[in-house]
Amino acid sequence: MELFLQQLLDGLATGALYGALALSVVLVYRASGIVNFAQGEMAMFAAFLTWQAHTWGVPLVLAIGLSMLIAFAFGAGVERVLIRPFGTTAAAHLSLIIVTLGLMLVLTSGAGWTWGYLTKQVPPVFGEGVVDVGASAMSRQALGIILAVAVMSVLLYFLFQKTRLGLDMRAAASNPESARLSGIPVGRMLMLGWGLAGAIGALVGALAAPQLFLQPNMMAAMLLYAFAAATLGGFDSPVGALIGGLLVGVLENMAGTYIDIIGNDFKQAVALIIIMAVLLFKPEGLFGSRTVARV
Amino acid sequence: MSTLLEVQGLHAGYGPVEVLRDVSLTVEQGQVAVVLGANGAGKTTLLRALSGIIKGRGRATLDGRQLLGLPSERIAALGVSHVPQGRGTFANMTVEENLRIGAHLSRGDEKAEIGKWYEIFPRLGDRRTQQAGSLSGGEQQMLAVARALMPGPRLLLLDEPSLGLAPNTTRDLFASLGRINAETGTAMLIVEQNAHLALDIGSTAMLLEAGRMVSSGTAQELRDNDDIRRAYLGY
Repeated sequence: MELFLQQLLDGLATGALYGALALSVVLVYRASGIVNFAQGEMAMFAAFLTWQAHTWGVPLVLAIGLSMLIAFAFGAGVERVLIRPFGTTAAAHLSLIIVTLGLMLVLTSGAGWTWGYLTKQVPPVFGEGVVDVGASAMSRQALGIILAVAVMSVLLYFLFQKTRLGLDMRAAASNPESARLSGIPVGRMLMLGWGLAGAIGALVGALAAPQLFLQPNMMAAMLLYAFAAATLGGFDSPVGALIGGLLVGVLENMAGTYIDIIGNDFKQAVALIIIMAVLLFKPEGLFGSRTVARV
Repeated sequence: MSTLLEVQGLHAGYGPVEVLRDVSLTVEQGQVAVVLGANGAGKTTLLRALSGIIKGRGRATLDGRQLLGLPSERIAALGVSHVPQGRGTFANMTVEENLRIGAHLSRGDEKAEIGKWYEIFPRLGDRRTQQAGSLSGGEQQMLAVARALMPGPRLLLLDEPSLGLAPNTTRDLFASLGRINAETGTAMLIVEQNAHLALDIGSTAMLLEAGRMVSSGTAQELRDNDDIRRAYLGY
């Protein structure tokens, strides 16, 4: 039982990160209708920026804030420069996916070229040490990750549900043509969506770096888990992405602990199995919209 | 009476395919103008060109201001509201959210404005927290009209509002449109296949055939035209 609880808590902490990265994948998907394969690498690059600023003497929290700002601007810029020219029709999706794959390669080699491929130690944002949680213990960092993702989620919920800007962003994602006809500058909303996704990714990168060790391929596996989380939650549902992330984190941890042949080294198979199972049996995911439309 | 919308020599289409050829028309301030035409005549293309969804060549001016070439959101900001074919509601958002989106350009009190539309279309008020996609066709059309009128536009473009609606619902809708026009003075350009009802509330009418304007006049003149009577009114 104690082992189970411990695995559950650990799973929730990694799951929060999967969920947050899945959230940025989902924000881009809702805005542009495509999966951004470079989302993880954008987060990795931002994590390097955080590390760089920190080694130059900027306090860690401030460094994360700065890199989130830069990642926001970069995400918005990617939408404007690399994505928008192809248009938003379904016909452009294949080209766009290739573009994001290209961006992924550029970012990986760019980070390697700038900072090298040796792993770098990143200090945990929330410090060392553990906190007792009932009979189990949790590292301060793990608890901090869960809290940080929770705060971010609440802020985003507030943005999307309670503000005019959030309403406009949702409108632009839901029906771009009607949004334009209502006077909403859809292009700007798409840039905002990509920017937010970039900033969330930067936070994920900074929070994950201490565990994963900072190096250019750091986020590759995590992106797969994020895809599993987004698929499980429903690709167009931000809430689903977060909950999907937590579920994937816990499932993956449990499978690694209790199923011998999976163990610690083969955990990625869990992500693939989740993706396959959801797509086969419940393609819209747990919270995705199977849009009911009457005519 | 002064002219609100003036279209001269408008050409528009999709890629290399030209659908509209040399179309000219006017809509006076506060008037309802009706464009009749069969499927594929170019009615939808005409509205899409006027609201900037597709590109058009020629002139289309609102109070003397050229609309062609402006992006949709700018045209909307100038006071042109377009209810597209298929209604263009935000299906996965609630009725109330749809109306709030419609208020993007309005400067007035959003709550009061929305309340006003719930009075005009009580069924929308009953369903304010429902997803727009779950409404019936008639309710969706009401929502689309209310959303388009939220900012108090000067010109409302309506693309086949009767499409897919039961005859009773269509009659109610046109009655509402007529009342709204009388009360608010919002000019309307309605394209329709359902000529009867449209001509009832229209003061001028035009006939579009294969992308060209083949006749135009007062609604009464078109009603009396034998060809139109046979083709579109069925008697």
